[in-house]
Formats: sequence, C-alpha cells, structure tokens
Amino acid sequence: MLLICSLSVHADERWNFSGLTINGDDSGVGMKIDRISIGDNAVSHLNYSCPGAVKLYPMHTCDNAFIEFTVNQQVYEAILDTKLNVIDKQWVVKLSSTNQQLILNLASEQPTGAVQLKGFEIQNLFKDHQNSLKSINGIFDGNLVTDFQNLSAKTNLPITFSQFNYEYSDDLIVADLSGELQVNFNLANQTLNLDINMTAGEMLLDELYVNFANYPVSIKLELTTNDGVNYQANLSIANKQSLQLNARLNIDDSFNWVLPMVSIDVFDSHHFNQNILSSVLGIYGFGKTEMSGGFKLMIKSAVMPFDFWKIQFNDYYVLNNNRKIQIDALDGVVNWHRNGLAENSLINWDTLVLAGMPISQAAMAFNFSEDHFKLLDSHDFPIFDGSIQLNELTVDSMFSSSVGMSLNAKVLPISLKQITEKLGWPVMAGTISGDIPGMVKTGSVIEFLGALKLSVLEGEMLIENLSLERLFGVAPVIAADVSFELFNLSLLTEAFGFGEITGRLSGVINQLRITNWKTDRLDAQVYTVKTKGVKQTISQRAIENISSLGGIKGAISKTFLRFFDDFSYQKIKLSCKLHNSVCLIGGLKNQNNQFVIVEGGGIPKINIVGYIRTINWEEFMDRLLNANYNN
Amino acid sequence: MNKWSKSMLMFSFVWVAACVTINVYFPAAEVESAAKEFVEDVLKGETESPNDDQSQWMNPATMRNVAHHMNPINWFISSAHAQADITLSSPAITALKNKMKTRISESLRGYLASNVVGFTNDGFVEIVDAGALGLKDRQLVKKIVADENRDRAALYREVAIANNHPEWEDQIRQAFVKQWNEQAEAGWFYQNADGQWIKK
Repeated sequence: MLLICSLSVHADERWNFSGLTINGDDSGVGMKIDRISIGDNAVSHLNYSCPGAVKLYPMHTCDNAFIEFTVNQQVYEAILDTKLNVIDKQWVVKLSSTNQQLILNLASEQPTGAVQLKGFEIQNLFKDHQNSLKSINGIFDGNLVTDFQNLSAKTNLPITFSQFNYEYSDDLIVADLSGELQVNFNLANQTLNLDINMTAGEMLLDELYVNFANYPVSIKLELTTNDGVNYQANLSIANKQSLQLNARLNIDDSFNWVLPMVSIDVFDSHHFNQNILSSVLGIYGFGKTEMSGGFKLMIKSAVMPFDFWKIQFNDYYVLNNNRKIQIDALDGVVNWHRNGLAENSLINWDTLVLAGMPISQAAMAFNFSEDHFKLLDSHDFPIFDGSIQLNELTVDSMFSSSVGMSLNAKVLPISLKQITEKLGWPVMAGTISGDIPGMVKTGSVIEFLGALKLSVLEGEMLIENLSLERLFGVAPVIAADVSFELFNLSLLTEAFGFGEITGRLSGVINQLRITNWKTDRLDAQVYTVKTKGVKQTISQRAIENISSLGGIKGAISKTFLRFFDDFSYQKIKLSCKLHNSVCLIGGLKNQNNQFVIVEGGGIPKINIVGYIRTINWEEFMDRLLNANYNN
Repeated sequence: MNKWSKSMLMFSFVWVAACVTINVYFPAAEVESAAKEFVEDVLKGETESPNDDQSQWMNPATMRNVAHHMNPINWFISSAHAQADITLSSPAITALKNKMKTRISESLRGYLASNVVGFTNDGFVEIVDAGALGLKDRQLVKKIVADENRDRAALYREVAIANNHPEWEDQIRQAFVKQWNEQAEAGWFYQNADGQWIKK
C-alpha cells in the first residue's frame, strides 16, 4: 500500500480531495480529509496529527506524527516524519509502520524512494486475507529501492528472511525457511526477476521432503510479458552439488500454464538420492537404494502439456539389494511420446541385475510411444555363457491394470553350473535352454502364456501356468505347474552331495507356489522311469542319508550290508502334498500310514518304507539342512 | 404300474438324485475367528525381525534352502514328527505378520494412539491428521502407512489363497476390517461405513 501511495505521489496526475478539516493548538496540529483520490486510487478517512505547536503552512516540519487512513476498507496506521514546503513544493517524508518494521523514505527531489524492512513480519500484509495466505509468516530484513519514474522496485543488496512458514495444504508446507532474496520488479514493463537462496528450513511437497540446511537451493524466476495479458516465466531451481532444473512456461490471462517445458539435470545422483530421492523411493518400497552417475529428464509440450519425455542416462548406477536390482554404467536415451509416435530409444549397460539374475554388457533399442513398448530388432542378452534371445517383445496397455505382452524368446544354452554357483545352490552339471512364452500382467501378477520349455539335467522340463506376483514388492510369489521327464538322477544327486542314485527321474509338481523364496505349497510326485541302457542303483550313502533324516544313524553301516557300495532298485516314488506348512507324504504303495519310497531289486534287496504320512515342512527342512552329506 | 413305468419312476429318482448342486459358501465365522486371532497377535506387537526384502535370496544359506525345497530327493523322509496345524500359516502370512508386528511396536502404535493414523473402512490405514508432526515425520508416516498397506494388501490375498479361494479376497478383507476396528484401542481412530472417522 505504501508503495502504491508513493507511486501515486510521483505521478503527474491531479489530486482531488474533499472534507478537509484542520485544527491546531499548543498541544499539536491535526488535519482530516474525508477522501483523496489520485487517478483510480483513493484514500479515505485520512487523519493526521502532529504533536507540539508547529505550523502547517507554508512550511511544516514534524517528527513522530501519526497518520491513519483507509484504503479498500483496510485501515492503515503509520508514524510520519515530514518536512514540507508548500510554496516550493518540496518535501521529505519518512513513513514508518507503528512497530517500525517497515519504513518508507520519500523526497520530492528524488525519483526514487527507499523501503527499509527491519524485522518485518510478512504476516502483517496478509492478516486480513480470507484465503490460505493467512498462514504465511516470516521475518524480513533489508532494503528495497523504488523508482517512481520507471515504476520499478529492486533490491541492491539481498533481503534476508527467516522463520518463514507457509502451509497451502497438507501436501505443500514450508517451515522455518531462512535465506535471502533479491527482486527487480518493473510495473511499466511488467517484468519480475526474483532470486531466492534457501539455506535452512524444510519443505514437504506431497511425498517430497527437502531439508534446505542439508540441501540448499537457489531459485531464479524471470517473468515477462509482451501484451500485458500473457506472461512467460523462466524458472531455475538449482543445488550446486547435484541439481539443475530449468522450466519455461507461459501463463495465460486465467493463470493457466500453457505448453510448459521442464529439464531436470541430476548430475550427481548419489548426492541427489541421499538428500531427496531416497526418502521418496522408500514410500514406494524401494528404500535403501544406492545410486551414482547422472541422468537428465527433459519434458516438453506440443499439443498437450508434458507430452514429450526424454530421459538421458550418463554412467548411471543404481543398486537395491532388498529388491535385487542393479544397473552398472547405464548410458543412453529413453524417449516417450504421450500422444503419438516417439523417437526410438537406445540404452546400454555394463551389468543389469533383475531379480538377482545378472545380464552382462548389452544394448537395447526400443520404441516407447503412448502405452506401447516395442523392442526393435532381435536382441541377445548374455547371461553367463549363454543368453536370452529376444526375437520379439511388445507390450500393450502399459498403464492399465491388465498389461499384455507378446514375446518370442529363447534361452540359449546356459551352464547350470554357473547359474547354481551364482544362486548359491549346490553346483549342478548340464545346461538350461528352451523357449519363453508370452506374458500378461494383471495388477501385480505377471502370467506367462503357454509353457516354458527347458532342457535340464539331460531331460526336459515343462513349466506351465507360470506366474510372478509382487516380484519387486512384499512377499514375492512364483507359482507354476511343473513337469519333467527323464532327468539324469546321477547328476542331480551328485550336485546335492546326497549320495549317488542312478536312473532317470520324471515327475510333476503341480500348484507349486514359492512365496518369499520359500515353498508355500505344492502337489508333487516324482518317480523313476526304467530306461534302456540306464542302471538303477542307489548308493549306501544315499540310503544312509535317507535313513538319517528319520533319525536313524548307520542304518546299513552297522550291518553286513556295509560291504556293498550300492544296491539295485526297481522303482523309487515319492509324493508330497504341501499345504499350510504340512506335507502329506506318499510313495509307491500307500497303505494306511505306510508307504514304500524305494522298492529294491536284485540281491540284497533293500526297500525303504515310510510310516509317517504327514510331516511339518519346516521341521523336515531343518533336519535336511542339518544332515551331514559329507560324512 | 407296469414294469416300464416303474423303471421310469426309478430312473427319475436317480436322475433327480444325480442333479445335486454343491454350493460353497464363504466361511464367515471361521475366517472372522482366524482374523481375530491374527489381529490380536499383530496388535500385541511383539518385535520380530522383519524380512520383507529379497536380499536373502542370493545368500548361500537361503538358496541352499530353496534348492533343497525344490529337490525331489529331499522329500525322502522317515519318522519326522507331523504337526498338522492348518490354521492360517504359510511362509508369506507368517512373514507379513512378523513385519506388521514389528511395525506396530516400532512406530505405528504411536501414530495410532496420537490419532495421526487410523484404520480405514476397507482394511487399510490412512493418515487422519499429521498436523502435529514435523515435516520430516510427516514424510516418515507416509512411508509407514504405505508399507503397512502394501503388507495388508498382500496379506488379504495370501489368506484367500491359503484357503484355496482367491476369489474370497474381498470378503476376507471385510472380515479383517471388523477385527481391526473391534480391536482398536480406546482413543484410536477408525472409519465407519460412511467414511467418517470415529474415535474409539
């Protein structure tokens, strides 16, 4: 208000006033004016009183005068020091708020005025507002120079602010903000330049939390207009160590954003993550993510706001141990067009780890337009000494609850040895290879269409109804129906160090459900298949180990049978129906609580018979893991 | 009645008897009872090590465990004892319960007691009023609420699956809603059917 008055004073417009009353005595002089108008601006109920016996005309000098006036139904009070020469039309005025927080110095011979802020409490400006601005408070110190000829105001030195608080909603709050600002405002040109450095305090913007003491931020705003109706704003937000955000947007006469452009350069993602991103990722279940390198996000608008997206990675590294995700040395560009065909994207990495499985150095070219993803050309993603060959991959309706994936992929032979070593499993011989069918994603469930065929342990494995649920979330689930034929039992038992059993093994594991990497349920039966040219023998050690699981130590070694290294068998069969941690066991001949696991053949003939049909899975696994296979 | 008529009559009885429709109804009382027990246990809030991440997957011990679970040879058994407890126990439910118990002990109970967070009428938790918290704590409580809701969503699904009826997920969630509300402590907020927050 003081600024408007000041500008009006220096305008070459005619003053009009009415209802002038002047009175005076030894105690002081007073003046009342019902209304003063200067152009469109009007002041009413102006009441001026000066203590002591002083003249009003032709010269008037007064210290600590009191002035009160009303503008737009708002009553203002101030302390006034004046030197007025009516004849020469010269005057000097110092107008102070009653609490001396805001001081305006004006002189008739100076085209500029000086505004001093001394611990100015900004809430005084908004105390009568009915909207959210009521919640603003903060303390400002500094000087502002006003130029009445150019209708401008600016700071020569930064204004400092502290204890600045503002709450727009539960999702936009700043608290105890400190820093400094510089402003250059020109009313004639309608331009505004604002520089703000925030060095302390906090901000919560939806899920984004910033502690400015740890992450100081500079904000620059340039606001210009060509027609006085539409404005162009250039905004820059920067942190010296890690962030440069630039935004350009147009603002129409209804204060709507038009065709904004934003670029966000995170040139030190380690620093940015530590201070900003990590806590946001935590809300989405990806806390404790580490990263380094940089990335740059550019968002442009053509037909609609934010319809072109481009993210460029520069030696970007990310690791989340909890979710088993890792990317080393990611480079390249991802383009996305929200409403049309985007430019093709190309990324490459040194190592990519998904769900713990490492994919070596590779590149991927694809197109990501609207909600469609399409892999360009055929790609080989090396895994150990083999690879996954993606001949075709398209994903539709990516942002819906039901995502369709068309896939033509093969697993080219990968050594089981390397896979099992990496996974910490007992080392197995052989290779794994096969076809990967298509997929569909509904909610958090990814279902594979068709069967996954693999060649394992010299046999064939068929995985049907394979689904992955919450793969990167809580309690991840893998579910499938598995069948296999003619596994080399010798390779299998060798890998697990259980004691050799030779022969061929087939079986089914239906309704297999592995949750949190633990077997939750299954309905399985495995059995040996007599195969021409393949011996069916079970070693003494294997028998001992089987027996020791039941608490029997030295079942054979204490008898004459210890002189035999291995024994022939006719058939081995075992079934387990696991539900709610309890396994219902069966074998070859299930009668009451008795069942045959191993039916011997030849001489000496050894049968292994089980007598307990139900078993607690965890207890059984404890026994199994504590068995000493090396002994 | 001739022989043919008798035969037809008998055939009709057999036919009618053969056309039996078996309806499987949601066992509301049983599920409610299980939910009651589960919620009681969670709200006791004994601290246990949460294990929601997949980092253990690559650990040799865990992987050996998985490998053994998958290895048919390892199903050979003899006289291990059986404990046929078929209440809601599965690795997923147990893991989720442990996480929820730890969370209620470490943080959520405090936010429930101070009415920052309340139980919603759809079986989740929500921030009711975080006005008294500092900004960093407001972000923290958002994380806690998000974590809890992820666990609860997984829990309701896993309970339905453990009962062999994935389609019961919504009904199971409703059974839990009742229990969360009934077992909320005095002074906690819960949401009624109209969405209004009620102080218990």
